[in-house]
Amino acid sequence: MSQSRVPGRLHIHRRALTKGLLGLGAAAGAAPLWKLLASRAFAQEGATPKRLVLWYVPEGTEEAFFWPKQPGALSINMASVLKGTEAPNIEEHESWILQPLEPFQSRLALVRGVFNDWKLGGLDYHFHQGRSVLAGSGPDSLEEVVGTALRGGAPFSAVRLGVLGWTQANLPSRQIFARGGSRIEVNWSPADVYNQVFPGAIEAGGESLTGEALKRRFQSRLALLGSVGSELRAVECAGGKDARIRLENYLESVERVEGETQALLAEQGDDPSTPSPGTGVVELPANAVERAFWRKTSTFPETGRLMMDVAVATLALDRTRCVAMQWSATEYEGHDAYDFHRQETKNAGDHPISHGQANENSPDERGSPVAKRDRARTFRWYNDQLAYFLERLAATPDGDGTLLDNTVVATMTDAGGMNHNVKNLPLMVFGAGSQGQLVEVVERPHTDYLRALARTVGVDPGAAFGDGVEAIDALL
Amino acid sequence: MLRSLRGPSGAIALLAVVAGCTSRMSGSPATGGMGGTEASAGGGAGTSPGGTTGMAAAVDPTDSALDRLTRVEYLRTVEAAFPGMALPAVELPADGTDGIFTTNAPSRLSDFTAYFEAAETLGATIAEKLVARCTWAETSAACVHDQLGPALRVAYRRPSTTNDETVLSSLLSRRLAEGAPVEEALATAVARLLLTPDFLFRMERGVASLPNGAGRRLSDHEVAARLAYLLTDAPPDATLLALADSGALGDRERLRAEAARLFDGPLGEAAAWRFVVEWLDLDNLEKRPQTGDLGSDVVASMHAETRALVDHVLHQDQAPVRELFTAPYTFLDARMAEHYGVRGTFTDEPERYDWKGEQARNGVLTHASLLTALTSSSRDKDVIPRGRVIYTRLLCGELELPDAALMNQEVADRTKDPRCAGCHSLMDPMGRAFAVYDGVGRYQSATVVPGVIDTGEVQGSFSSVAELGGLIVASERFETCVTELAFRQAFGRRPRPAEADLLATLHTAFAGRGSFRDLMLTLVSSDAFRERYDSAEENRCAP
Repeated sequence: MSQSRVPGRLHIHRRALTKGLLGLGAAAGAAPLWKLLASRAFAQEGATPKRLVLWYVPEGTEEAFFWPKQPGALSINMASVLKGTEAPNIEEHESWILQPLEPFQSRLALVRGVFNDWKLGGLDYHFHQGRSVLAGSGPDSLEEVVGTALRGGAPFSAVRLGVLGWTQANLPSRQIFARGGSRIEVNWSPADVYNQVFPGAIEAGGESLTGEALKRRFQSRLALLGSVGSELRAVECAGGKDARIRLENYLESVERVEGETQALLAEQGDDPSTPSPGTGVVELPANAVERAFWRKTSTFPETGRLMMDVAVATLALDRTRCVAMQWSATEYEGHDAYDFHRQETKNAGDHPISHGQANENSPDERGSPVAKRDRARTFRWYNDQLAYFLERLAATPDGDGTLLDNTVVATMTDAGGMNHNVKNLPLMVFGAGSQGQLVEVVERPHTDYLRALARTVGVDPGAAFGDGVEAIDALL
Repeated sequence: MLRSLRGPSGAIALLAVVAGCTSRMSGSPATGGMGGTEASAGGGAGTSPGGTTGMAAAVDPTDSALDRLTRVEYLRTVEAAFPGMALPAVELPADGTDGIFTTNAPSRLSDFTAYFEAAETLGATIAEKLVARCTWAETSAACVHDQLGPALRVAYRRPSTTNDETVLSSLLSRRLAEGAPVEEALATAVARLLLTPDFLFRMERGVASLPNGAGRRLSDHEVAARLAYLLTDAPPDATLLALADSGALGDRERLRAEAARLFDGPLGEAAAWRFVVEWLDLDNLEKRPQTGDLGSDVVASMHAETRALVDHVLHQDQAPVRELFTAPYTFLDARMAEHYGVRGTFTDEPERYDWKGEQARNGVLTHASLLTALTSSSRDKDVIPRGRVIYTRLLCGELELPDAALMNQEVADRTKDPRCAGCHSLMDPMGRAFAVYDGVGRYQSATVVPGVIDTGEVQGSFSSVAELGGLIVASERFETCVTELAFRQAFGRRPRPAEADLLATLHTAFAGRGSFRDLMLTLVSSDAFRERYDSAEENRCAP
């Protein structure tokens, strides 16, 4: 477990506390606003909703350090040790990467035997592996399919967050989200997403918008989008079919944001003193809204922490029922990569390491011991973060239990082991079927995994991800 | 209406393209080019004309796309529409690519949120500057006409209409009526301008149907926009817009003269430089791990050397493009001279230097910029990327990567293993010719690795990069490749079968003096440059 971990609870900004508006431990008789908002939405639907969180980490793992030796009941071996560059040996190293998750192993189902099924043929496996991770061969990625179905009274069907992938934004392999066959680009600034989900929460000078100003902002955006939408609907001819599809995409985007804004406006109500509900819910690092913060490798851990905090707040306040988080320090050549085991920046990316390259001792060897050690440390570092996120969910009240009780958290990655090996994706699911088990399946395509995840939260995916309707039943 | 085409599922059919090294190269109309490997590998999501995933689009890559402005084009257009204003930085969606060049022609975007936020951010800043210039609340329509009319014309690349202004003034009035402060209401109106399809997209409505009904003939303003964005990455300037207003661009010679003016200007030089950078993958330079050890000043000097040669060949001398790859001279500043180990007196500015035989360098292929950009830390280090760039970018050859399972296997000799040899037997000998240079382009060895090239169209033996480069650029295949790339850059699509004659004309124009300028001017003077194509019946819409 990370030494620097903060006790799991939502941070309450000092200013919010002094205003007496928020806080998990708010004074008796004054229910916290977030709780009111969430309970109001839930009351309409009759029950605390189920949520789905997708956790994407690039490049896969190093198998010998990841998997437990035995299938069946899960027991993460806390005695495993990775000393250095010794050859991978499952007797010594089993489940070393999983150790940060030991407190949650009773909720954890490991799934082994799933392969990345980019079946449509490939001219570049990076491209297809990344692109198929969440969508299979279908037009929509999982969070879109599930989020739309689960949305209920939440303003947003799905909220997508990401860290440090902006330099790779042009690479299709880093574009894992899709709607209607077109990409959805992640906003790599969690602070930006925070302000989208909680408009007015972060304003210049550190103050948040309240009442009238916030209401006007919503009205202004609605007027703006309504005007654009009218023009788009009136377009008769702007080229061929492709041109019309592009304008349809634009119109759909306009209408979706209109819907979100209307929901936010309705929720805001008419009280001129009501602040943005997100005010102070997440503690922002200094300069979090500035490019210098979220574009810097050196702030990778802080940006990631902010991403997770925003995700928890988003779920806790029922802004959405589906959150997807994309970690990406994967190919950072020339921009300095984050060194996961030394907690510093360096000059070689995670992606070259996954190819067994760009290591200090053996730059040319594929799958060198150094590369395997670094890959294992990298994936374990991500599991440190996942443990933090799970702690946060566990510490957040939700209905009669906690947010963790009502959330399925599922991990995704594009590769199994080193060098884009597509087999045995290291898949972890918390809060669904087969908890506390290592489930073995035999060469199941990952689209079966996608379908299973949809069903864990009660969504029938149909044939959303390509051929077939099979799912991995053990997860249900 | 826009609703008419999308089915209930919103799903889009697939188009698969298979490419291979062994049998053919791209280049013939409608068989290669953008449908090839690199387009698929690098295309923006859901974008690649020849894409092979579920997110690929059923777009005939020979059709004209509704092109969305690139980031650079967007920002330059805003700056031109609102000159002299210090505008805030905004985050825009990532640009697409056709596998080589930055373009949104093959790109379908589904989430425009970044544009909404950019428009609101820019609108607020612009409104702050404009609010005191007019009595916006009292005379909304007149203020919009006076203060935003000129911006509309630049932003939409055409004369503004009454309706354009009414849209903005109506929105302004509505927000004022709803109680918004004037500056806030004005910000919304400016944001509206920046979200209009005529700003965001290269809308090409055309003025008349083509004789075969398969497209539209473009207006002069639409041609002006094509011209300016192609040659300068910027919107039409005042001169070009005025010519479009007067109908003068219908005159082919006038259009060619305007193209020459734009090509020869500073923005034209910058755009041509971008073409070369993307063509030869030079934008990889900063991404290589080893550049961190060199220092940013050396990397900047590497760029400066190549930029100076490109400017010299393409603009100052208007020399044949092949001279980029054969020039026995270069442009060195003191840092590059030291980097190469060249003795003499040099300054901070690149100056012409004629190679004197101590090193076998000829043109860009031997520049440290390219050699560093095309370095890999994988097995055999630099052989593959250096061979690949010649095969795919100078000869427009297509690659097919093996599946992931094979990539995980050890292969004894990739130039002989039948699963690999189709490509590697072609690329590797070319890549090995570069062995005399290290990973940052320094001369490291006099050991020459002689090789043979035989692609069917290009044949010969070589014992140096200079000889290899000479073989390549002397070939007809190189000429057709450059011609095809220029076409692709200009149209955002690959040639149609009916455009074989145009390609031949372009080839002739290029093969003559071999100048990039001649090629581009011939290209923009063509009928195709004034036409938009929608090939299939179902793709067409009545004007």
